[in-house]
Amino acid sequence: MRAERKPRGLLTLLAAAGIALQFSGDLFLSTLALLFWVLAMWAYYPCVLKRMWIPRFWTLTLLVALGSGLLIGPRDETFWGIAISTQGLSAGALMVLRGAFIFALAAWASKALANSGLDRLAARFGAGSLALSAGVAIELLPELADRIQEVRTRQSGSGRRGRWKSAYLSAVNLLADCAMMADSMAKKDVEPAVVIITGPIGSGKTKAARELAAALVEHGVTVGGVIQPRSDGGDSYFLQDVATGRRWPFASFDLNRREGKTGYIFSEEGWAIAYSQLKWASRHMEVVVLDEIGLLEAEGKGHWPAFRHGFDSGSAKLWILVVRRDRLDLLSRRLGRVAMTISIPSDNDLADIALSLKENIIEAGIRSRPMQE
Amino acid sequence: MSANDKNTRARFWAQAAAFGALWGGVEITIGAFIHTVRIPFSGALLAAFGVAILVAQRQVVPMRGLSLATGAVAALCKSMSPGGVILGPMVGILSEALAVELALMVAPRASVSALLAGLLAASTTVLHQLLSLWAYYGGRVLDLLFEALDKVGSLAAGGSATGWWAAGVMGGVIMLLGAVGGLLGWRLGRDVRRIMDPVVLSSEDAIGISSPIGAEVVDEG
Repeated sequence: MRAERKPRGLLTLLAAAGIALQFSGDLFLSTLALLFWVLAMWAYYPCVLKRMWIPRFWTLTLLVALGSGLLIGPRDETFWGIAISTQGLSAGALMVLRGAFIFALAAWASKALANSGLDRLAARFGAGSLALSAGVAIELLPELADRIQEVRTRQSGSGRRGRWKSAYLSAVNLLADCAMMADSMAKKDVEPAVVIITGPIGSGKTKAARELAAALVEHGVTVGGVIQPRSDGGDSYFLQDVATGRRWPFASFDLNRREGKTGYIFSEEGWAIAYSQLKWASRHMEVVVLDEIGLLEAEGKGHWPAFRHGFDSGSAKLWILVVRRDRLDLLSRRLGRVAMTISIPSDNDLADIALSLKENIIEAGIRSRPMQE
Repeated sequence: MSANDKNTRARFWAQAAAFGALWGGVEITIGAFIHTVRIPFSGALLAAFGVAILVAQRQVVPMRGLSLATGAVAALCKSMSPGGVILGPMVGILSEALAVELALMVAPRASVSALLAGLLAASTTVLHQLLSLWAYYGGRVLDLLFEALDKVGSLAAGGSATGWWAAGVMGGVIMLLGAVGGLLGWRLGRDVRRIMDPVVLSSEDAIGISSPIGAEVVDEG
């Protein structure tokens, strides 16, 4: 039985010496290099010699070598009545030897690299993200290979045009799935947690959000964001910064509202303030509070762009969203994973909830990040 | 590194992983099929598929360097191919990715860039073949190739230029395949964006605030 342990260092040295000998252009030295390399492969990697047996390749190589004897250089010798060039023939022989050497070298290098694990090798050279990414990609390969086969064999349309269209649509879906899968991989466990405060109209959701924010602040947590308290008369809403308590007029009841329209007229300036406050809070605070997520947000309007922007690119660990109970189903698909739902007025022990949020979400930090080093 | 940078970095490598796996999957499945049925220009066909994937990806995620990273991931996936020499195909994949990266550097979403990416990637397949020949047999093999082209031409009825014309036609077919791959990727990418935009509102898209219905400024007080 041959040695199990391969002398990689010695083989690398031999490979380097062999390559160096190729530069001389000397037929004898090239032959020597090939001989040593073949012997080394026979001793340690016999499978490489098996891989080198490709009849079509070697036939072509020999033809190239003989062709060079006929085509390159002056024809100074005659063999069996055919005028050939010794210069061309030796060049051809050199090409065959060099080809055989490089081929054997490449086969060995491929095997050695494959055995050592290219992803681990990439990690060793400081390309950790690439190695991590390659590891994930290799895990995805079987599933994607199946999907590619589906696209290739899918012929649901009628006629050639229909089949092409069907294959094209499958390809679009496959690429979209790929992009969305990547986005969800990147966000997995990197996303901030979402806590929802919900309840019917007038149940005190905004008040609960303010109290929860205050309780978190008491526990040393930094809290920002905006709430929308109702005015004393009840016909308008303010926008209030949670961190500073500063207020701006935001919405007033629309007396001339028509069927299907929102019941309030909003201040453009208020939206701009809310956007900038949320953006700032998402970058500088641990917790962001956002009041009155409703119909507009379900349509991707209102506070939604500010929320998505802050949620995707901010560093806040927790978002507390206030949602009316009858809008909860509509919004749940858009909000994704929800860590906790606080129902008002039944869940009224906000001090305990604040402590639990601090210990389980804020202090636990963002958990393992599959796509980050 | 800020959380924003971390998220961007995570997204970059996640996209590279998903699309690199897709390209690797194409190389393994469609590549195996093409090689088995011995379709001519198989290398250029696979390069066209690769270009289509990379161009479509950059339509959806216009991050600089992503094509090269995806190529590196796909090349590492190729290392999973059972048996055979893998270094050549890996270098081929990387050089195609580099060509696409260069072409998409200035305007990643423009159709002209996609076309250029296809042409450049296709030309790398020819270059890769020539370099492989040179690496295996040395510089003289290229002289031999050129002389052979002359000889083939002189043996044919059309004179010595015929061999070069034949080589030119083959080169043209390869470039055409690359161009089709680039433009197909551009179109695929646009359609993918149409699917994705309502689902993923990325930070770069969320630059404005949607005005609510009947918005009106109220007096402060």
